[in-house]
Amino acid sequence: MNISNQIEQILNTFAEDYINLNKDVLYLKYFSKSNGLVTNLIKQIPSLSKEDKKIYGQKINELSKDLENRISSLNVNEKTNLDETIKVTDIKRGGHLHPVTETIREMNNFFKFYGFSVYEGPEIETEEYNFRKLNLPENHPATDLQDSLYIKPGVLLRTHTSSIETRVLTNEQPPIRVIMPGTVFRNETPSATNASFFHQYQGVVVDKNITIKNLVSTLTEFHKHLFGPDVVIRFRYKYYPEVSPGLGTDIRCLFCKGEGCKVCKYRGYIEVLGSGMIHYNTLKMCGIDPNEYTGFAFGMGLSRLVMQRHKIDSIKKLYGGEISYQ
Amino acid sequence: MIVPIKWIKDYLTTHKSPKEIAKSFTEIGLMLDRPILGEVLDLEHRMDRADWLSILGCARDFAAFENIKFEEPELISTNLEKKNEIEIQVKSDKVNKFRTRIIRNIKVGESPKFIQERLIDYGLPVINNIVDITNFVMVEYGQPLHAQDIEKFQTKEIVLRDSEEGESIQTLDCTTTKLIEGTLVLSETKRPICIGGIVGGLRTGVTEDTKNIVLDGGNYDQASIRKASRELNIRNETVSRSEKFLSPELVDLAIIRATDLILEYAGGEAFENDDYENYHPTSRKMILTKERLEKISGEDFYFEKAAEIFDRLNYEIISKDEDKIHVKTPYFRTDIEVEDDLISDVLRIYGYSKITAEPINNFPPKNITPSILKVQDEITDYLVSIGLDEHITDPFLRYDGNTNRVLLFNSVNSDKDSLRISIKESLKNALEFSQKIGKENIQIFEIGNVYFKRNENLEEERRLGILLNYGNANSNSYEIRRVLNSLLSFLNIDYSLIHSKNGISIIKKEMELGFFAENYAEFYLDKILQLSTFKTQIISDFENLSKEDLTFTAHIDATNGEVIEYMRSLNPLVTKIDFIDEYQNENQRKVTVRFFTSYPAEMKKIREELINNTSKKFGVTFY
Repeated sequence: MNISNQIEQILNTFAEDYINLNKDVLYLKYFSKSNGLVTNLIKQIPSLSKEDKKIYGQKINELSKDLENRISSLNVNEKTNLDETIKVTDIKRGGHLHPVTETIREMNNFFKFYGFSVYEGPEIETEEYNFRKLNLPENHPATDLQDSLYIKPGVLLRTHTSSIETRVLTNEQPPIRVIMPGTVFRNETPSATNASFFHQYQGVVVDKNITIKNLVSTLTEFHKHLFGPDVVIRFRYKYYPEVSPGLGTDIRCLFCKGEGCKVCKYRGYIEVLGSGMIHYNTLKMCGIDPNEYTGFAFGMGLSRLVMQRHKIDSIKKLYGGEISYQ
Repeated sequence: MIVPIKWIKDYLTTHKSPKEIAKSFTEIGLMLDRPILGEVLDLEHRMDRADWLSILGCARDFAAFENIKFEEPELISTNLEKKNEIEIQVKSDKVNKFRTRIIRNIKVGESPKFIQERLIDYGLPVINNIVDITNFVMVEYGQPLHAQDIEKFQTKEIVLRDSEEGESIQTLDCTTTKLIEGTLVLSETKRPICIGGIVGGLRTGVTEDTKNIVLDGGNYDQASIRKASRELNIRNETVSRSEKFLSPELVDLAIIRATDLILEYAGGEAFENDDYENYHPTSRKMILTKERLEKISGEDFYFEKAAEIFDRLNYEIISKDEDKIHVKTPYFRTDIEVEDDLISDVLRIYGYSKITAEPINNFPPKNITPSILKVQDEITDYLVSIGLDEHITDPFLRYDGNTNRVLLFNSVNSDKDSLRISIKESLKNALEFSQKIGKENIQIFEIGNVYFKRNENLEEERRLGILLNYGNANSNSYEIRRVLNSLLSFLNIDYSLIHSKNGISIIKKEMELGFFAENYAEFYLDKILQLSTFKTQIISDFENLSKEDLTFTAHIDATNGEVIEYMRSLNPLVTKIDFIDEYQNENQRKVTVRFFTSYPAEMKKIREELINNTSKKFGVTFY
């Protein structure tokens, strides 16, 4: 192809490319050092005859300048993403973790670095592990704090993850440092906030010289991990049969900053978890010498926290498959 | 517990605002539960402290925390002339204490303003001076009391006994309650006049023209009261107190206080009457050691403060030395069980907000996380990475008569009275929801438990369920194969398929790993755990595999999986056997498999062994 045709062809293709290609691609197509269309033309100049050099040398230089000017005058963003026929959503997507799994993992990641293992226990439990070893004798008024689902006398679906705690305390030797995420079951008439099936998250530490100060430290750091470094934490006395002293742990309401609003039910604070030093009798009933070892335990409802985080208004949706992943 | 601020100020002086008072109550264990309305606090009560079901009990702890003076009401009518007008007979083992007094010539009318105001703030109706005073003292001391009109008695006796079959009573709210046999009742002329510790009867109730009354206070077995009130479905202020561990000693204080108020505001003359006692004192001698206090609190300064805090909480200090304090617990503290409960009181009244933080210094113990959780996480991550969504579904469903299914015998909801035996039973709800909102190419999974009743044993098993919908049966069956094949190859498990009652079973070494049918696959995670290795396989120079294809015509009744599984078990020198191809014509099918070995010198021997044994076993012909 002679040089004049080549120039003509470049002009033609440029007219089209100028509309369709973005600045970088356009520049490379015409001016890349190794294979640019204009660069290749310029490379041919030394090999032209004298007359051709006179005519086309100048033409090629003008062309080069002209195209370079037109390319550099292009706004970088102007030509990008103009083609709306490309369906970005067609790209095969990955799946999603359930919001509860996501939160459990986030919590586990915190405790992993404090030397905690993850522990499990059966969902079909005996009264011994679900109540008795937690310092809850038969007919104790605190049994009323929960409604249990029974399979046969003495055998029920665990009502809290505390049953995993009595399992780990019975089966393992101190030092013990474990977290216990798990599903729990209650005999409830379903509503937006109450369900017969939900998750709790439990933790326990037993070792020599464990004090209430260690509990306060661990839970303070945990709350900062969950709610950010500026979170304000409140510890107050709260009764649970399996601990003494017991502590309720609240965070100052993130919405009203403690003034009282609808979110915190005008309490100013939101209850996150229950905790305490493991009861003397619980340690003893699980076969650990309470005079040698001390420990603390904490437990929290996971589902409510997940619902808050994901703005899910009904617990039924969380466990009824009514989650629409984007 | 409802606490009108006006009422606690009868026993102490504070200038704090309702909000500040609520803050102190919250820190010591009575958390503000609802917005403060006027000057009334609604505090959360947690079952343990029976004394916190009284205004005096709440005020006492508040005063101890604030370190301010606290005064109980002065009791006047402690010594009265005894006239046993009404005989008390106790024929039930549910009675710990029962005390009565007779007050004659009273004038029933309006109760004084201060009582009315406090009852209204608390939320109880104002009726007449006698009823209001018994209610007032119940809330003040936490001990339910009961007044009856003596003139309405036909015999001069009160018998405390267990109810008999078929008995009923008309209660104060004018409803007739059928009694369950064995419920504690107070009776007269063999007819019940009151359900003990639960509710009074209408027949002997106080009315406008009542002149002479018998006032009673009782302490009963709390477990029986709880049980009976639930069976009768009666909840009231009396029940919520008498079902807790109240101290029997409260009966005396409350009955004296009520007598004082009745004599002052309704007039009349009071006499002591017959009573009954059968209980152990609730006060206990206990020791707090400095060593234990330091062990739990991590501080040495608390011991210095302990004696004073005990004093503020009405403990009696018997003796105190350098390293221990002997105390007698107050009669009303039925919650105290162990030394740590004393420590709890010291820390609580000193202030939980003053506890400082100290990180755990001990060396972390060894990791005891079970390996099934690791496998579970790996599988979850893998399935999510190839585009599946995770779900967690409620495992309850309506009982269908399947004898393998675990049935719950006390479920309040008949739609949820048994448990799933396959993940699919509840995961399908998630699929249906996705379809309902118009999703296409749905692929979801769940890892969770299924539950069985096998003979009389209850079992739970961890499983993985995968459910898809690609719009039609062909795509579904293709996609389910694709997903399970990807998953098993990720887990480094080679497998065979055989027909089974579940559809098609996935097997390895004669062990069933799971099954699939149509658009659903389920895996037994404990089996997967035994077989899976997450090690990335390295191709080694020394494992230069030789391979050879074998083709045979198969019988119709043996599946390829069965044949291949058998061939795999024949010679340990065979590294693996893969299914390659199948060709079906009329009534026989041709199957090609490929075997691999790292021992090329043994090729011939292996081939012969495979061919001979397999031909014999299945009657197939090799080419």
